Amino acid sequence: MFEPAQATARDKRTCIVAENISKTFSRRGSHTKPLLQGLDLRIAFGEIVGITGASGSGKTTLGDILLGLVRPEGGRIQWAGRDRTSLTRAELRDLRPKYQKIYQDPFRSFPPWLTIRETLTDVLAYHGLTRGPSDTERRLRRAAREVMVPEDLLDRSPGRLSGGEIQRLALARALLLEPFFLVADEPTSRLDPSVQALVARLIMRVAGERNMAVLFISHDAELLKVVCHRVFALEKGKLHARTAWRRT
Amino acid sequence: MKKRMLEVNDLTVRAPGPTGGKILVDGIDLVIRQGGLFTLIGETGSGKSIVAQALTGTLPEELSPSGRVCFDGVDILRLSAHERRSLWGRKLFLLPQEPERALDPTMKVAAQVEEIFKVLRYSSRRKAREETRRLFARLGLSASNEGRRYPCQLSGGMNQRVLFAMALASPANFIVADEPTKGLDPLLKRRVTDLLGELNRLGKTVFCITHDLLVARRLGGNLAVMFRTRIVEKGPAEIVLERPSHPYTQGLFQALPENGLHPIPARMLQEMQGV
Repeated sequence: MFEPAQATARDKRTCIVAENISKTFSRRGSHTKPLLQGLDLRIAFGEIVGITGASGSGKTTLGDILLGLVRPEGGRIQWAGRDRTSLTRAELRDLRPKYQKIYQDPFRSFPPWLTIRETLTDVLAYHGLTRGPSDTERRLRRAAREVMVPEDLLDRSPGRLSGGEIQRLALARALLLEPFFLVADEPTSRLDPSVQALVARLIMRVAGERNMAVLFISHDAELLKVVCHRVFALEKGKLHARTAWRRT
Repeated sequence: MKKRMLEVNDLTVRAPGPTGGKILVDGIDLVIRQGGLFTLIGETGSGKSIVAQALTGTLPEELSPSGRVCFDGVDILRLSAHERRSLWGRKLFLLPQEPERALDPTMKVAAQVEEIFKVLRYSSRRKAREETRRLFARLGLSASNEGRRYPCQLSGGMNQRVLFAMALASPANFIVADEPTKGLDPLLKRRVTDLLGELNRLGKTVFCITHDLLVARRLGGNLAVMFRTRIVEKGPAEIVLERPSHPYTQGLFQALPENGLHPIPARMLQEMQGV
Protein backbone atom coordinates (compact mmCIF):
# COMPACT_ATOMS: atom_id res chain seq x y z
CA MET A 1 0.00 0.00 0.00
CA PHE A 2 1.19 3.54 -0.75
CA GLU A 3 2.01 5.76 2.16
CA PRO A 4 2.65 9.51 1.95
CA ALA A 5 6.28 8.83 2.92
CA GLN A 6 6.69 6.59 -0.14
CA ALA A 7 5.03 9.18 -2.30
CA THR A 8 7.26 11.95 -1.01
CA ALA A 9 10.29 9.77 -1.68
CA ARG A 10 9.11 9.41 -5.27
CA ASP A 11 8.36 13.05 -5.89
CA LYS A 12 9.63 15.32 -3.11
CA ARG A 13 6.61 17.04 -1.61
CA THR A 14 4.10 16.84 -4.46
CA CYS A 15 0.86 15.00 -3.78
CA ILE A 16 -0.98 15.52 -7.02
CA VAL A 17 0.00 16.85 -10.43
CA ALA A 18 -2.18 17.85 -13.36
CA GLU A 19 -0.37 18.54 -16.63
CA ASN A 20 -1.81 20.10 -19.75
CA ILE A 21 -5.36 19.04 -18.90
CA SER A 22 -8.04 19.72 -21.48
CA LYS A 23 -11.73 19.00 -21.36
CA THR A 24 -14.64 20.10 -23.53
CA PHE A 25 -18.16 20.11 -22.33
CA SER A 26 -21.50 19.82 -24.07
CA ARG A 27 -24.45 20.89 -22.03
CA ARG A 28 -26.66 23.11 -24.09
CA GLY A 29 -27.89 20.85 -26.84
CA SER A 30 -25.16 19.54 -29.09
CA HIS A 31 -22.94 22.62 -28.76
CA THR A 32 -19.59 21.80 -27.20
CA LYS A 33 -17.35 24.36 -25.56
CA PRO A 34 -13.81 24.08 -24.24
CA LEU A 35 -13.92 24.00 -20.44
CA LEU A 36 -10.30 23.38 -19.47
CA GLN A 37 -7.52 24.22 -21.91
CA GLY A 38 -3.98 23.02 -21.22
CA LEU A 39 -4.34 23.47 -17.47
CA ASP A 40 -1.39 22.75 -15.13
CA LEU A 41 -1.57 22.38 -11.35
CA ARG A 42 0.61 20.84 -8.63
CA ILE A 43 -0.44 20.53 -5.02
CA ALA A 44 2.05 19.61 -2.28
CA PHE A 45 1.28 17.51 0.79
CA GLY A 46 -0.17 19.76 3.49
CA GLU A 47 -0.96 22.53 1.01
CA ILE A 48 -4.41 24.08 0.52
CA VAL A 49 -5.00 25.45 -2.96
CA GLY A 50 -8.08 27.61 -3.54
CA ILE A 51 -10.01 27.73 -6.80
CA THR A 52 -12.56 30.41 -7.56
CA GLY A 53 -14.35 31.31 -10.77
CA ALA A 54 -17.74 32.03 -12.27
CA SER A 55 -20.54 29.45 -12.20
CA GLY A 56 -19.93 26.96 -15.01
CA SER A 57 -16.22 27.80 -15.35
CA GLY A 58 -15.19 24.18 -14.69
CA LYS A 59 -14.13 24.25 -11.01
CA THR A 60 -16.04 21.11 -10.04
CA THR A 61 -14.93 19.35 -13.25
CA LEU A 62 -11.30 20.14 -12.42
CA GLY A 63 -11.75 18.62 -8.95
CA ASP A 64 -13.40 15.54 -10.44
CA ILE A 65 -10.59 15.13 -12.99
CA LEU A 66 -7.99 15.28 -10.20
CA LEU A 67 -9.97 12.61 -8.33
CA GLY A 68 -10.19 10.39 -11.41
CA LEU A 69 -13.99 10.70 -11.49
CA VAL A 70 -14.00 12.46 -14.87
CA ARG A 71 -11.64 11.53 -17.68
CA PRO A 72 -9.91 14.50 -19.37
CA GLU A 73 -9.57 14.51 -23.16
CA GLY A 74 -5.93 15.52 -22.97
CA GLY A 75 -3.11 15.76 -20.46
CA ARG A 76 -2.18 13.57 -17.54
CA ILE A 77 -2.72 13.24 -13.81
CA GLN A 78 -0.07 11.99 -11.38
CA TRP A 79 -1.12 10.42 -8.11
CA ALA A 80 1.61 9.98 -5.51
CA GLY A 81 4.29 10.54 -8.13
CA ARG A 82 2.91 8.04 -10.66
CA ASP A 83 0.97 8.64 -13.87
CA ARG A 84 -2.55 7.57 -12.98
CA THR A 85 -2.96 5.61 -16.22
CA SER A 86 0.18 3.56 -15.44
CA LEU A 87 -1.14 2.29 -12.10
CA THR A 88 -2.07 -1.37 -11.91
CA ARG A 89 -5.56 -2.40 -10.83
CA ALA A 90 -4.23 -3.35 -7.37
CA GLU A 91 -2.37 -0.05 -6.98
CA LEU A 92 -5.47 1.88 -7.99
CA ARG A 93 -7.53 -0.06 -5.46
CA ASP A 94 -5.08 0.95 -2.74
CA LEU A 95 -4.82 4.56 -3.83
CA ARG A 96 -8.45 5.25 -4.75
CA PRO A 97 -9.67 5.81 -1.13
CA LYS A 98 -6.81 8.25 -0.56
CA TYR A 99 -8.41 10.77 -2.94
CA GLN A 100 -11.59 12.05 -1.33
CA LYS A 101 -14.24 14.71 -1.79
CA ILE A 102 -16.71 16.65 0.34
CA TYR A 103 -19.63 18.31 -1.36
CA GLN A 104 -21.51 21.61 -1.16
CA ASP A 105 -24.48 19.48 -0.14
CA PRO A 106 -23.05 17.22 2.60
CA PHE A 107 -26.19 15.07 2.58
CA ARG A 108 -24.81 13.57 -0.65
CA SER A 109 -22.22 11.76 1.48
CA PHE A 110 -24.81 9.91 3.58
CA PRO A 111 -27.72 7.62 2.63
CA PRO A 112 -30.80 9.12 4.38
CA TRP A 113 -32.02 5.71 5.62
CA LEU A 114 -28.88 4.91 7.65
CA THR A 115 -27.56 6.49 10.83
CA ILE A 116 -24.20 8.25 10.57
CA ARG A 117 -22.64 5.43 12.61
CA GLU A 118 -23.94 2.82 10.14
CA THR A 119 -22.61 4.73 7.14
CA LEU A 120 -19.18 5.28 8.70
CA THR A 121 -19.00 1.63 9.80
CA ASP A 122 -19.83 0.55 6.23
CA VAL A 123 -17.09 2.83 4.86
CA LEU A 124 -14.47 1.23 7.13
CA ALA A 125 -15.69 -2.30 6.41
CA TYR A 126 -15.85 -1.77 2.64
CA HIS A 127 -12.26 -0.59 2.52
CA GLY A 128 -11.08 -3.28 4.93
CA LEU A 129 -9.76 -0.70 7.38
CA THR A 130 -11.05 -2.20 10.61
CA ARG A 131 -9.84 -5.08 12.76
CA GLY A 132 -13.24 -5.68 14.35
CA PRO A 133 -16.10 -3.95 16.17
CA SER A 134 -13.98 -2.44 18.95
CA ASP A 135 -11.48 -1.06 16.43
CA THR A 136 -14.36 0.38 14.37
CA GLU A 137 -15.77 2.02 17.50
CA ARG A 138 -12.37 3.49 18.38
CA ARG A 139 -11.93 4.90 14.88
CA LEU A 140 -15.45 6.41 14.83
CA ARG A 141 -14.90 8.07 18.22
CA ARG A 142 -11.59 9.49 17.07
CA ALA A 143 -13.19 10.77 13.84
CA ALA A 144 -16.03 12.48 15.76
CA ARG A 145 -13.50 14.08 18.13
CA GLU A 146 -11.34 15.24 15.26
CA VAL A 147 -14.22 17.13 13.61
CA MET A 148 -15.52 18.37 17.01
CA VAL A 149 -18.91 16.66 16.83
CA PRO A 150 -20.43 15.08 19.98
CA GLU A 151 -20.32 11.28 19.75
CA ASP A 152 -24.07 10.89 20.36
CA LEU A 153 -24.76 12.55 16.98
CA LEU A 154 -23.32 9.45 15.29
CA ASP A 155 -26.55 7.62 16.16
CA ARG A 156 -28.73 10.11 14.32
CA SER A 157 -29.93 9.91 10.73
CA PRO A 158 -28.64 12.68 8.41
CA GLY A 159 -32.01 14.47 8.36
CA ARG A 160 -31.78 15.12 12.12
CA LEU A 161 -28.50 17.03 11.92
CA SER A 162 -27.83 20.71 11.24
CA GLY A 163 -25.93 21.87 8.14
CA GLY A 164 -22.76 22.47 10.14
CA GLU A 165 -22.91 19.09 11.91
CA ILE A 166 -23.50 17.08 8.74
CA GLN A 167 -20.73 18.91 6.85
CA ARG A 168 -18.26 18.16 9.67
CA LEU A 169 -19.38 14.51 9.63
CA ALA A 170 -18.91 14.40 5.84
CA LEU A 171 -15.34 15.53 6.52
CA ALA A 172 -15.03 12.80 9.18
CA ARG A 173 -16.22 10.25 6.60
CA ALA A 174 -13.45 11.33 4.22
CA LEU A 175 -10.83 11.41 7.01
CA LEU A 176 -11.62 7.82 8.06
CA LEU A 177 -9.84 6.74 4.87
CA GLU A 178 -6.73 8.75 5.81
CA PRO A 179 -6.69 10.65 2.52
CA PHE A 180 -3.64 12.19 0.86
CA PHE A 181 -5.84 14.60 -1.07
CA LEU A 182 -9.24 16.16 -0.45
CA VAL A 183 -11.43 18.15 -2.83
CA ALA A 184 -13.65 20.46 -0.78
CA ASP A 185 -16.25 21.62 -3.31
CA GLU A 186 -17.91 24.72 -1.86
CA PRO A 187 -18.11 23.08 1.56
CA THR A 188 -19.27 26.23 3.34
CA SER A 189 -21.62 27.92 0.87
CA ARG A 190 -24.77 26.67 2.65
CA LEU A 191 -23.62 27.69 6.11
CA ASP A 192 -24.00 30.85 8.18
CA PRO A 193 -20.80 32.90 8.68
CA SER A 194 -19.98 31.39 12.09
CA VAL A 195 -20.46 27.76 11.03
CA GLN A 196 -18.62 28.57 7.80
CA ALA A 197 -15.66 29.79 9.86
CA LEU A 198 -15.83 26.66 12.02
CA VAL A 199 -15.76 24.27 9.03
CA ALA A 200 -13.08 26.26 7.18
CA ARG A 201 -10.85 26.38 10.29
CA LEU A 202 -11.36 22.64 10.75
CA ILE A 203 -10.21 21.91 7.18
CA MET A 204 -7.15 24.14 7.75
CA ARG A 205 -6.31 22.28 10.96
CA VAL A 206 -6.71 18.71 9.67
CA ALA A 207 -4.83 19.51 6.46
CA GLY A 208 -1.92 20.74 8.59
CA GLU A 209 -2.04 17.92 11.14
CA ARG A 210 -2.41 15.16 8.55
CA ASN A 211 -0.17 16.71 5.91
CA MET A 212 -3.10 16.40 3.52
CA ALA A 213 -3.34 18.27 0.21
CA VAL A 214 -6.62 20.13 -0.33
CA LEU A 215 -8.29 21.70 -3.35
CA PHE A 216 -10.72 24.21 -1.81
CA ILE A 217 -13.37 25.39 -4.29
CA SER A 218 -15.39 28.47 -3.37
CA HIS A 219 -17.02 31.58 -4.77
CA ASP A 220 -15.91 33.46 -1.69
CA ALA A 221 -12.60 35.10 -2.59
CA GLU A 222 -12.20 36.55 0.92
CA LEU A 223 -12.55 33.08 2.46
CA LEU A 224 -9.98 31.58 0.08
CA LYS A 225 -7.45 34.29 0.93
CA VAL A 226 -7.58 33.27 4.59
CA VAL A 227 -7.82 29.49 4.19
CA CYS A 228 -5.49 28.77 1.26
CA HIS A 229 -1.76 28.91 0.69
CA ARG A 230 -2.29 29.62 -2.98
CA VAL A 231 -5.42 30.86 -4.78
CA PHE A 232 -6.28 30.62 -8.48
CA ALA A 233 -9.16 31.94 -10.53
CA LEU A 234 -10.35 29.56 -13.23
CA GLU A 235 -11.07 31.68 -16.29
CA LYS A 236 -11.41 30.57 -19.89
CA GLY A 237 -10.07 27.13 -19.09
CA LYS A 238 -6.85 28.28 -17.41
CA LEU A 239 -5.73 29.05 -13.87
CA HIS A 240 -4.72 32.61 -12.99
CA ALA A 241 -2.90 33.25 -9.71
CA ARG A 242 -4.59 35.46 -7.10
CA THR A 243 -3.32 36.85 -3.82
CA ALA A 244 -3.45 34.59 -0.77
CA TRP A 245 -2.87 35.89 2.76
CA ARG A 246 -1.55 32.63 4.20
CA ARG A 247 2.11 31.88 3.82
CA THR A 248 3.11 28.64 2.08
CA MET B 1 -48.13 54.63 6.92
CA LYS B 2 -48.79 51.76 4.52
CA LYS B 3 -51.12 48.97 5.59
CA ARG B 4 -49.85 45.77 7.14
CA MET B 5 -49.55 43.09 4.49
CA LEU B 6 -48.31 40.40 6.84
CA GLU B 7 -48.56 40.21 10.59
CA VAL B 8 -47.10 37.28 12.48
CA ASN B 9 -47.94 36.91 16.20
CA ASP B 10 -46.32 34.38 18.48
CA LEU B 11 -45.66 31.88 15.67
CA THR B 12 -44.45 28.61 17.18
CA VAL B 13 -43.81 25.45 15.18
CA ARG B 14 -43.27 22.05 16.78
CA ALA B 15 -41.94 18.83 15.31
CA PRO B 16 -43.96 15.69 15.99
CA GLY B 17 -43.05 14.00 19.28
CA PRO B 18 -44.46 12.29 22.37
CA THR B 19 -44.32 15.38 24.63
CA GLY B 20 -45.56 18.00 22.21
CA GLY B 21 -42.42 17.72 20.06
CA LYS B 22 -39.25 19.73 19.70
CA ILE B 23 -39.77 23.46 19.17
CA LEU B 24 -38.46 24.45 15.72
CA VAL B 25 -39.68 28.06 15.73
CA ASP B 26 -40.37 29.78 19.02
CA GLY B 27 -42.74 32.72 19.43
CA ILE B 28 -41.91 34.79 16.33
CA ASP B 29 -43.49 38.23 15.90
CA LEU B 30 -43.14 40.12 12.62
CA VAL B 31 -44.87 42.92 10.74
CA ILE B 32 -44.30 43.52 7.04
CA ARG B 33 -46.01 46.49 5.43
CA GLN B 34 -47.26 46.62 1.85
CA GLY B 35 -44.42 47.32 -0.56
CA GLY B 36 -41.84 46.65 2.16
CA LEU B 37 -38.67 44.61 2.03
CA PHE B 38 -37.83 42.33 4.94
CA THR B 39 -34.75 40.14 5.31
CA LEU B 40 -34.36 37.28 7.77
CA ILE B 41 -30.77 36.28 8.49
CA GLY B 42 -29.37 33.89 11.06
CA GLU B 43 -27.93 30.62 12.14
CA THR B 44 -27.92 27.56 9.86
CA GLY B 45 -30.74 25.35 11.14
CA SER B 46 -32.31 28.06 13.33
CA GLY B 47 -35.71 27.68 11.63
CA LYS B 48 -35.58 30.38 8.94
CA SER B 49 -36.94 28.16 6.17
CA ILE B 50 -39.70 26.89 8.47
CA VAL B 51 -40.79 30.51 9.00
CA ALA B 52 -40.92 30.92 5.20
CA GLN B 53 -43.00 27.75 4.93
CA ALA B 54 -45.40 29.02 7.63
CA LEU B 55 -45.79 32.37 5.83
CA THR B 56 -46.58 30.71 2.51
CA GLY B 57 -48.79 27.94 3.91
CA THR B 58 -46.38 25.23 2.78
CA LEU B 59 -45.43 23.73 6.16
CA PRO B 60 -45.10 19.94 6.06
CA GLU B 61 -48.24 18.25 7.43
CA GLU B 62 -46.38 16.61 10.33
CA LEU B 63 -45.33 19.97 11.86
CA SER B 64 -47.71 21.67 14.32
CA PRO B 65 -47.90 25.47 14.08
CA SER B 66 -49.58 27.77 16.60
CA GLY B 67 -50.02 31.55 16.83
CA ARG B 68 -51.21 33.73 13.94
CA VAL B 69 -49.90 34.42 10.43
CA CYS B 70 -52.27 37.11 9.11
CA PHE B 71 -51.82 37.74 5.42
CA ASP B 72 -54.06 40.46 4.00
CA GLY B 73 -56.36 40.03 7.00
CA VAL B 74 -56.61 36.23 6.71
CA ASP B 75 -54.91 33.83 9.13
CA ILE B 76 -53.02 31.40 6.86
CA LEU B 77 -52.65 28.85 9.67
CA ARG B 78 -56.47 28.49 9.90
CA LEU B 79 -57.01 27.94 6.17
CA SER B 80 -57.72 24.55 4.64
CA ALA B 81 -55.16 23.04 2.26
CA HIS B 82 -57.39 24.01 -0.68
CA GLU B 83 -57.72 27.62 0.52
CA ARG B 84 -53.96 27.89 1.05
CA ARG B 85 -53.29 26.52 -2.41
CA SER B 86 -55.57 29.16 -3.95
CA LEU B 87 -53.20 31.87 -2.63
CA TRP B 88 -50.13 30.44 -4.36
CA GLY B 89 -49.20 32.36 -7.49
CA ARG B 90 -52.20 34.68 -7.07
CA LYS B 91 -51.26 36.40 -3.81
CA LEU B 92 -48.08 34.69 -2.65
CA PHE B 93 -45.06 33.64 -4.67
CA LEU B 94 -42.28 31.46 -3.29
CA LEU B 95 -38.80 31.58 -4.84
CA PRO B 96 -37.31 28.36 -3.46
CA GLN B 97 -33.67 27.50 -2.70
CA GLU B 98 -33.20 25.36 -5.80
CA PRO B 99 -34.87 26.99 -8.85
CA GLU B 100 -34.83 23.67 -10.76
CA ARG B 101 -37.21 22.21 -8.19
CA ALA B 102 -39.83 24.88 -8.89
CA LEU B 103 -39.75 24.55 -12.68
CA ASP B 104 -41.48 21.86 -14.71
CA PRO B 105 -38.65 19.70 -16.13
CA THR B 106 -40.80 18.57 -19.09
CA MET B 107 -41.76 22.05 -20.33
CA LYS B 108 -39.71 24.73 -22.10
CA VAL B 109 -39.12 27.68 -19.79
CA ALA B 110 -40.77 30.44 -21.85
CA ALA B 111 -43.92 28.33 -22.08
CA GLN B 112 -43.95 28.09 -18.28
CA VAL B 113 -43.91 31.89 -17.97
CA GLU B 114 -46.56 32.24 -20.71
CA GLU B 115 -48.75 29.83 -18.78
CA ILE B 116 -48.74 32.18 -15.78
CA PHE B 117 -50.00 35.04 -17.95
CA LYS B 118 -52.68 32.80 -19.45
CA VAL B 119 -53.89 31.11 -16.25
CA LEU B 120 -53.44 33.81 -13.62
CA ARG B 121 -53.88 36.98 -15.68
CA TYR B 122 -56.27 35.57 -18.32
CA SER B 123 -54.08 36.92 -21.15
CA SER B 124 -54.54 35.78 -24.75
CA ARG B 125 -51.86 33.47 -26.18
CA ARG B 126 -50.40 36.29 -28.25
CA LYS B 127 -50.32 38.74 -25.34
CA ALA B 128 -48.78 36.10 -23.06
CA ARG B 129 -46.01 35.49 -25.59
CA GLU B 130 -45.32 39.22 -26.00
CA GLU B 131 -45.25 39.85 -22.26
CA THR B 132 -42.94 36.87 -21.72
CA ARG B 133 -40.56 38.14 -24.41
CA ARG B 134 -40.53 41.57 -22.74
CA LEU B 135 -39.87 40.07 -19.29
CA PHE B 136 -37.10 37.81 -20.57
CA ALA B 137 -35.38 40.76 -22.27
CA ARG B 138 -35.55 42.74 -19.06
CA LEU B 139 -33.86 39.89 -17.19
CA GLY B 140 -31.12 39.44 -19.78
CA LEU B 141 -32.61 36.31 -21.34
CA SER B 142 -33.86 35.70 -24.87
CA ALA B 143 -37.31 34.14 -25.25
CA SER B 144 -36.30 32.74 -28.64
CA ASN B 145 -33.05 31.22 -27.38
CA GLU B 146 -33.02 30.35 -23.64
CA GLY B 147 -36.81 30.46 -23.61
CA ARG B 148 -36.97 27.47 -25.94
CA ARG B 149 -34.90 25.28 -23.66
CA TYR B 150 -35.80 22.97 -20.80
CA PRO B 151 -34.65 23.78 -17.23
CA CYS B 152 -32.01 21.02 -17.38
CA GLN B 153 -30.43 22.75 -20.38
CA LEU B 154 -29.97 26.05 -18.53
CA SER B 155 -27.52 27.03 -15.80
CA GLY B 156 -28.68 27.58 -12.22
CA GLY B 157 -28.42 31.35 -12.66
CA MET B 158 -30.57 31.29 -15.81
CA ASN B 159 -33.23 29.14 -14.13
CA GLN B 160 -33.17 31.59 -11.24
CA ARG B 161 -33.95 34.42 -13.66
CA VAL B 162 -36.76 32.39 -15.26
CA LEU B 163 -38.28 32.11 -11.78
CA PHE B 164 -37.95 35.85 -11.32
CA ALA B 165 -39.78 36.28 -14.65
CA MET B 166 -42.54 34.06 -13.25
CA ALA B 167 -42.66 36.16 -10.06
CA LEU B 168 -43.01 39.32 -12.15
CA ALA B 169 -45.60 37.69 -14.39
CA SER B 170 -47.78 36.55 -11.50
CA PRO B 171 -50.30 38.87 -9.88
CA ALA B 172 -48.87 37.91 -6.46
CA ASN B 173 -47.81 40.94 -4.47
CA PHE B 174 -45.94 39.09 -1.75
CA ILE B 175 -42.71 37.36 -2.78
CA VAL B 176 -40.89 35.02 -0.39
CA ALA B 177 -37.31 34.20 -1.47
CA ASP B 178 -35.59 31.41 0.46
CA GLU B 179 -31.78 31.70 0.14
CA PRO B 180 -32.02 32.95 -3.47
CA THR B 181 -28.24 33.51 -3.79
CA LYS B 182 -26.97 30.27 -2.31
CA GLY B 183 -24.13 28.77 -4.35
CA LEU B 184 -24.07 31.61 -6.89
CA ASP B 185 -20.85 33.32 -7.95
CA PRO B 186 -20.41 36.97 -6.83
CA LEU B 187 -21.61 38.43 -10.14
CA LEU B 188 -24.80 36.35 -10.21
CA LYS B 189 -25.30 36.94 -6.50
CA ARG B 190 -25.27 40.67 -7.06
CA ARG B 191 -27.57 40.34 -10.06
CA VAL B 192 -30.11 38.22 -8.13
CA THR B 193 -29.97 40.62 -5.16
CA ASP B 194 -30.62 43.54 -7.50
CA LEU B 195 -33.51 41.63 -9.10
CA LEU B 196 -35.10 41.24 -5.67
CA GLY B 197 -34.67 44.98 -5.14
CA GLU B 198 -36.29 45.57 -8.52
CA LEU B 199 -39.27 43.36 -7.66
CA ASN B 200 -39.65 45.52 -4.58
CA ARG B 201 -39.40 48.78 -6.54
CA LEU B 202 -42.11 47.47 -8.87
CA GLY B 203 -44.42 47.37 -5.88
CA LYS B 204 -44.05 43.78 -4.69
CA THR B 205 -43.56 43.12 -0.99
CA VAL B 206 -40.42 41.02 -0.57
CA PHE B 207 -39.46 38.68 2.28
CA CYS B 208 -35.96 37.27 1.79
CA ILE B 209 -34.12 34.63 3.80
CA THR B 210 -30.34 34.57 3.56
CA HIS B 211 -27.26 33.74 5.58
CA ASP B 212 -25.20 36.15 3.50
CA LEU B 213 -24.63 39.43 5.34
CA LEU B 214 -23.52 41.20 2.14
CA VAL B 215 -26.79 40.28 0.42
CA ALA B 216 -28.73 41.54 3.47
CA ARG B 217 -26.79 44.82 3.40
CA ARG B 218 -27.38 45.32 -0.32
CA LEU B 219 -31.10 44.61 0.00
CA GLY B 220 -31.67 47.09 2.84
CA GLY B 221 -35.22 47.43 4.20
CA ASN B 222 -35.97 45.84 7.55
CA LEU B 223 -34.07 42.92 8.98
CA ALA B 224 -34.43 40.31 11.72
CA VAL B 225 -31.77 37.96 13.08
CA MET B 226 -32.73 34.42 14.03
CA PHE B 227 -30.81 32.28 16.50
CA ARG B 228 -31.83 28.91 17.99
CA THR B 229 -35.51 29.12 16.89
CA ARG B 230 -36.01 32.73 18.05
CA ILE B 231 -35.69 36.22 16.62
CA VAL B 232 -33.03 37.88 18.76
CA GLU B 233 -32.76 41.25 17.04
CA LYS B 234 -34.68 43.28 14.47
CA GLY B 235 -34.85 46.76 12.97
CA PRO B 236 -33.82 48.71 9.87
CA ALA B 237 -31.09 46.73 8.05
CA GLU B 238 -28.51 49.52 8.05
CA ILE B 239 -28.80 49.95 11.82
CA VAL B 240 -28.75 46.24 12.73
CA LEU B 241 -25.85 45.57 10.36
CA GLU B 242 -23.83 48.63 11.36
CA ARG B 243 -24.42 48.45 15.11
CA PRO B 244 -25.57 44.93 16.01
CA SER B 245 -26.70 44.76 19.64
CA HIS B 246 -27.11 40.99 20.18
CA PRO B 247 -23.89 39.02 20.78
CA TYR B 248 -24.91 36.47 18.13
CA THR B 249 -25.18 39.16 15.41
CA GLN B 250 -21.88 40.63 16.60
CA GLY B 251 -20.36 37.13 16.43
CA LEU B 252 -21.54 36.70 12.82
CA PHE B 253 -19.48 39.72 11.81
CA GLN B 254 -16.42 38.46 13.68
CA ALA B 255 -16.76 35.17 11.77
CA LEU B 256 -16.48 36.79 8.33
CA PRO B 257 -13.17 35.98 6.58
CA GLU B 258 -12.30 39.68 6.26
CA ASN B 259 -12.63 40.00 10.06
CA GLY B 260 -10.42 37.02 10.83
CA LEU B 261 -12.70 33.98 10.33
CA HIS B 262 -13.37 33.50 14.06
CA PRO B 263 -16.28 31.12 14.67
CA ILE B 264 -18.48 31.92 17.66
CA PRO B 265 -17.19 29.63 20.46
CA ALA B 266 -19.61 26.81 21.43
CA ARG B 267 -19.55 28.00 25.06
CA MET B 268 -20.68 31.49 24.00
CA LEU B 269 -23.46 30.02 21.87
CA GLN B 270 -24.71 28.11 24.93
CA GLU B 271 -24.63 31.28 27.03
CA MET B 272 -26.41 33.29 24.33
CA GLN B 273 -29.40 31.00 24.43
CA GLY B 274 -30.21 32.63 27.74
CA VAL B 275 -29.67 36.24 26.52
